[in-house]
Amino acid sequence: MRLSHFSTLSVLLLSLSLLCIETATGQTATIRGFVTDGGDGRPMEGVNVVVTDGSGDLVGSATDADGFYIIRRLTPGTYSFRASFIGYISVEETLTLGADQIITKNVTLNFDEANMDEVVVEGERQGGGARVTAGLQTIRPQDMELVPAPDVSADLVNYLTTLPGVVSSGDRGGQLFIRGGEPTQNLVELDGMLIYQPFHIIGFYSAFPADIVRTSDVYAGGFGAKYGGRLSSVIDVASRNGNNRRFGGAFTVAPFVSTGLLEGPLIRNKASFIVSVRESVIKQGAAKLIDEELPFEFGDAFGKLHFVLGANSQASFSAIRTHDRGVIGGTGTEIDIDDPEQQQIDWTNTALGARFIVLPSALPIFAEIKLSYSILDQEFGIIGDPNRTTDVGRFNGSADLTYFAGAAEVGWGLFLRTSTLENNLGGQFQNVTSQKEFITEAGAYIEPTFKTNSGFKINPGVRLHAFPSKGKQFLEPRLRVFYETGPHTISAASGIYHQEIVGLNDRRDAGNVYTAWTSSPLGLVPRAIHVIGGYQYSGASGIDFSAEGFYKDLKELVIPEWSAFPRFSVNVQPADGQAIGFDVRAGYEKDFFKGFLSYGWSKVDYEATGDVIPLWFESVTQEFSPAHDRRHQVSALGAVEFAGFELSTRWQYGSGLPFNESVGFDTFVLINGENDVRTDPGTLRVLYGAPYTGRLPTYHRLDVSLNKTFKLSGASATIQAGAINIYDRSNLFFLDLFTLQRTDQLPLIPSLGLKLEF
Amino acid sequence: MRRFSTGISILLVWVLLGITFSACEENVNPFREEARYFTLFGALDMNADSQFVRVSPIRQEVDFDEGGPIDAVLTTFDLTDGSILPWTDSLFTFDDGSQGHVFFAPLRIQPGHTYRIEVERSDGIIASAETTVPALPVPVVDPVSDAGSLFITQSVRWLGVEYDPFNVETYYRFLTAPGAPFTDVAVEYDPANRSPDTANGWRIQVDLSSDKDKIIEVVPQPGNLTFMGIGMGITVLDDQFDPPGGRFDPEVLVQPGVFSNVENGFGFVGAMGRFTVEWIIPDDIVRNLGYVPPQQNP
Repeated sequence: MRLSHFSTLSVLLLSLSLLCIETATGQTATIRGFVTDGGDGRPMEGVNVVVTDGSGDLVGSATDADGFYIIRRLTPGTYSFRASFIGYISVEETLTLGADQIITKNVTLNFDEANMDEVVVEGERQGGGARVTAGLQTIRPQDMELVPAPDVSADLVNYLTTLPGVVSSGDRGGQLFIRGGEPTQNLVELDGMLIYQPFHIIGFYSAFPADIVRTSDVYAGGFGAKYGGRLSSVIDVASRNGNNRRFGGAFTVAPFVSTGLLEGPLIRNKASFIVSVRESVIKQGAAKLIDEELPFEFGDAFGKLHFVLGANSQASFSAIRTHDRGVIGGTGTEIDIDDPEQQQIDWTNTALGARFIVLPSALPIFAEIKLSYSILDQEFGIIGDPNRTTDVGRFNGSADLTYFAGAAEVGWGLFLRTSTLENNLGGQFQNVTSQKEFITEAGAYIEPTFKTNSGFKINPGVRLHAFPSKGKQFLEPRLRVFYETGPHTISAASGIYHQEIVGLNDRRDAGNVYTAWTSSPLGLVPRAIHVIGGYQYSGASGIDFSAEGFYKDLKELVIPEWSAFPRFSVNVQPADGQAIGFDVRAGYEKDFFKGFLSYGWSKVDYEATGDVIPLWFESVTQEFSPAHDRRHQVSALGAVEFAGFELSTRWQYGSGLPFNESVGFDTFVLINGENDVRTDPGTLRVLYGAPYTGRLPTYHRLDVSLNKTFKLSGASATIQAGAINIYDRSNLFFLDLFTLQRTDQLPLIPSLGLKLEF
Repeated sequence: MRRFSTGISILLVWVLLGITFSACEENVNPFREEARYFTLFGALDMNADSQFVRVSPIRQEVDFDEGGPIDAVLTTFDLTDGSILPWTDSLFTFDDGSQGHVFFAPLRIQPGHTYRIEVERSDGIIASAETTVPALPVPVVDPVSDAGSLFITQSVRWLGVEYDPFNVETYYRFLTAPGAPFTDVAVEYDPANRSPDTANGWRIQVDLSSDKDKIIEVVPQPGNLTFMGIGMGITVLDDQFDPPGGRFDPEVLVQPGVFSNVENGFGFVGAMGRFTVEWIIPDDIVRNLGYVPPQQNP
């Protein structure tokens, strides 16, 4: 069976290769290329590229996020070529194509000053919170900038938390649960580099500030065969290239972070760089504003070099480093993260990556080769002497190719990865061995896309993901289907997913996000089946609407057992689960107003199947709602421009999350026929009943920001005034059952920020 | 102008929303209200003249001082003969410095009697447990089965034992050298060695041959062991003295409500007794087992 999996995929890949060779000997011509913005040299997405033959027949294509387009199966002859984008001056040319000829035609579009307003509006219409199909939403920087934040620059995570189905741990901890999945079940990549723990310790920030993001594809589930190794979702972030025409930059100061960004050409029109650095200033800023200790420190640095190697090839090199430390589950003036005795969480992501884009001269193929190395260092405990540590690293090499065959596109690829996982658990998970592991992964996928003239787009796929070092392999079928007619799109997605390398975390302790990355213990391999179905309406009147339902069937998860002993060292146990839900989104965007309203309902159930369950509950399994089972979510986002100001507001509501209730405390004495109650002092016991029977109070909050941009000579300055949690709602984050001390999410924090751009 | 008014309108909506929710805070009660007041732990001992039960109030403060006074009165009711006995509270200080209330009473519990242990608060609230003392066991030692000297076994039947006995051990006494003190070895038997006996009791199979293998592993000078005696001890338990999974694993038993027989509270109060029997093994069997009979020892 194992061999047959490899054989099937090998035959498919071989057939593709033969098909490519066959196509190269056909009698038609192909035109392809990249479209870039004349202002900054960056790729332009959504540009219409059409060719018209002598009889007026028109064939066209739109550029993707890399600015790439391809038009195939053209009869040899003379064509009128036109590349256009609203607000930009179109490029028109006459081209003569010969038989079997593949022409690379790169285009630069220049901004049309006369249509500046139109460009802004149309450009933003590519995104929008209500535009989701088959679980996929593409988020762009302009989407992120709608969300008020205590910083002049926007951030991806701040936008993600407005989406229905995304449950955040709140302002503290940086944990996102997407449609029932755990944070460690999300695959988060930047330019193909895996980022293990990408969200900063404060909920407004991630490793992805809007200033460096080109696009972010967020699959809440049902992702295609290109992605694997994670159970729940994919956040695939592509960074933007630096400006290869002129130097520029931006600096911001605000109560939470200060940032700096520089970009410019290394070789004009050929090579560019971009460098972004952010560092938290909470201690000097926000904490002073509210006169309360905010024990958090974080920052990130990103750099990218981009080279145009030739008409047919590009290369980019990216590097990122993030750092976070703090005390998540505590508050009060006694907490000082600089105190050498203070227990705290500390983690650092480091990743390096290279990406090569190649258009082979003789083949209608878009080839992308990626190499990366990602590291996560994580500690919990006292600085310098932590009692839990995790050091993980992963090398990834992959090749993703898209072969363009008329109405069909065939994506396929290969990957090879090696991971090093080393954990010192300090006894946290008693039946998980702390050891250094080396895991190799290899595999391939094939994912054709078939389009029909009637509006159907079918995207089946299959992924073979093998772990040669463990003798395991998985064949994962995937399917994504779209039917588009006018402004209406009906979509569906389904697939099977496995996750062999898992993150273990004790969700009973909301104040600790320490996560051990290990090969799945107990001999289990968590797996999931996703089913998604949805409808989207994108009207020309500026109204977007979407409704989507989802179901995730989760098997062989690994979760901590519970213990009535007051400690967090426990065994892990197997569990199954399911997440079911739907969300409804509506967006309106016209002239000076943008609004987005969403409601999400979901229900997440886990069913623990550990050996101890029958002994405790007199049933083989114990069903419960895990800590991230938020049933109802409402998010309202509005931005309006008036009198030269931009006003952004966000209101969020979430129903209460489950927590472990107890009856109280007592003293447990083991009665075993030998023990003597006169000599055994007993042990403090927490009188938990069934897990997660309680619900925390509802969460809601209003954030507001007001921006005003001033034009200076060769530069601009933006001043932002705002406030988070403007009505000072005491949203509970964490209740210490032992001290009964509550830790709330952030209170009302006013902010004043300044951004200088040149 | 339209933009301005829209902007102001939106701002006003949010401000109104803010006023509506302003500074509100929902408290959360982490404690589930249940009619449970005390935790009781203890085992009434059939062999003892006094009984002891640890009583802890169920509280909502983690740093509760158990050394303080306790609003509890413990009384036992013998439901078989109707006698009532008030117990005395005592504050024990344990080796770790902690304190706890251990109630005691001069009480010799009677086999077959059912006792109700009640802890009553001054407001009349009661937590209670019931236990029925097991019957007195009667040991019957069967003759040795000498199956060709390779697998020598012997059965001990404990008549009157209703439930699976616990902590079953066979005791061996040896003399390893003239004038040396006796060496005692206890071999613990797992449940595979016992089975319900048809005649109202449990049969324990003593694997004399297998036991010897275990004995020579622990005796310092196993070469010339003079066999001085053999006996067996069992603990009989009441019908509820039966942990889930058959093991007294604290990681399992700590779960509230598991292995608990306390009404309006948590914990467990059972009844138990430790009983032993000694017997003699014929010299030829002793020799077959590889030991030296006692009379051969100079």
